[in-house]
Amino acid sequence: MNYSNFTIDEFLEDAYFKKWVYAPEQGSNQYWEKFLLLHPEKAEIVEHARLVLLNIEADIANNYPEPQQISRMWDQIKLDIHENKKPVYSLSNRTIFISSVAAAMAVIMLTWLFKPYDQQSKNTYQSLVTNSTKTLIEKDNTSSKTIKINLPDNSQIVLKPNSKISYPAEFNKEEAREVYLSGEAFFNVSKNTKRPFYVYTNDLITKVLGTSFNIKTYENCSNLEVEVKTGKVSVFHRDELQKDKKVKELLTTGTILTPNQKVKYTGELKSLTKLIVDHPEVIVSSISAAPINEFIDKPVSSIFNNLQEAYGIDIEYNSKLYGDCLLTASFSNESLFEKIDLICKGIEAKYHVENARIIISGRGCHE
Amino acid sequence: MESTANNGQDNWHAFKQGDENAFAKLYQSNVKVLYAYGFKLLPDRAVIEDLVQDIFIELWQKRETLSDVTSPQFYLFKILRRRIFKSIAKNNNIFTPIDYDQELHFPIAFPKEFYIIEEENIQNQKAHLYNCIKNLPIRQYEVMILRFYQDLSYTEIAKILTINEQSVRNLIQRAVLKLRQLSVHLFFSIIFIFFIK
Repeated sequence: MNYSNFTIDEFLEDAYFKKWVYAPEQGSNQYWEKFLLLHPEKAEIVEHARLVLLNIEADIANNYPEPQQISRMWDQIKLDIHENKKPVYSLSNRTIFISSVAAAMAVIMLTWLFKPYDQQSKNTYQSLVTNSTKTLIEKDNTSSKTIKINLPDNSQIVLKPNSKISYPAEFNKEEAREVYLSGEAFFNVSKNTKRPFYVYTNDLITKVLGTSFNIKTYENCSNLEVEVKTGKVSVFHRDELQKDKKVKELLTTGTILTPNQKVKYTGELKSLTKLIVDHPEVIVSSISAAPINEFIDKPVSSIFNNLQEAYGIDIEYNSKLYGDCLLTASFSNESLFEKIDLICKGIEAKYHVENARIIISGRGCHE
Repeated sequence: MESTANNGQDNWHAFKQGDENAFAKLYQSNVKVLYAYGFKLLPDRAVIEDLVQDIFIELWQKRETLSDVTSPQFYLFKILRRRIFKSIAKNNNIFTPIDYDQELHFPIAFPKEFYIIEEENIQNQKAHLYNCIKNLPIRQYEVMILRFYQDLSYTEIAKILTINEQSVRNLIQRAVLKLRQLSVHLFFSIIFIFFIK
């Protein structure tokens, strides 16, 4: 190619030149260095053409979607092509994102915290076990160390001290897997969507879709908390089970918990309240977004979006008031709430937690 | 360029045969620029996200009927652009339709900080050029992206924009002319930058 007679237009049109500008390699670098040594009079034109191209690139890159948006869109595309359905328009992106996270999730952690209880519950561990129609095996850990139990379906349980668990000697291939727990245990459940895994604890039933989680419970308590670190579980009251027998349907009626959410159960009122865990942690998953620590002149909406996805917690704000407020922020080891607090200071807003969501309020950053 | 073109071809073949990895590659290498391009035409993130998603879903569903010769970029840009204008037409009352016969400027609003910074850097000639690109009429801008950034052919660009090839050439020429008309200062500063490097 005789570049020595090239005009700017011709450089802009030339594929090899464009490739050097956009994706320089050792070979092309050498080529153009040599060319400019031989044709110093071309330096001006080459540099001008190069700047034009780089500026085109910079302009287009300015509107690139964020990495987590790219993966979220990809998840949705995969979901659609596998279900062979027409594109779904009505579902909000947020819903899609959460369900896809849940589907691929591997680890579920539940922590049940108890307060001493004052009312005798009918559904104690003992009564549940005696009422079961199946032949159950009971493991009672009276030692001071944890014990490991292998279930017939290859699921594993790590039973903590002072805890009891009962499970069928054999899991029927067609039936749901049901175990009864008193105390605390860590579960690593083998995945099988046809046979859901249920943990019965006093008044509540926890349905698990993922594979591993932790439950803490004591027999003489009726107030409890379920905490989810990662994954998706559905928690519901036994009464609902008796009402319409079909456990399957309860997945839709129960309280669904996603990462960093917890549910507080009050035995007296039989009420389930959804909250955010005390110390939200970043969700560990290949598909959820990593939290970004450096924001330079970014619209607050993109910072909120990133936090939303990294922690799986909804953040509500008036996008008209705050959507395009620009903020420069640098985070290091701050907790989610500390980060929210810093952002709120920056945009002169306040936040509060309501129904497991963070709600931002204020007058906005526009005067 | 040669080797990437071949890789692109191979990948396109694999994709057409139902290779999901090839599809993922196709997605990864095109989604960003498609999205950004679409956003220029219709600055609504949610709508563009949906449209870009749908295009890839459709591409996958129709993969067996797609021809061999054309570049994937061509398909993607063509469909995206058509969809965007359909969407704009449908939501006429929500979005201001872009009048294509007018040399309209981009529907972008900069935050006020941008202008402050711009003031400060008024001597910065690179910003000047950048601005110049930003302020190209939208059709000239489209042509620039497709030709200079995506390296699509004049024939392909003409089909994407549904205009004839000569019009594409004219648009390119006008865009380049504008960029060439930058002040002489630019050249001096560039030469300076070049030699101190």
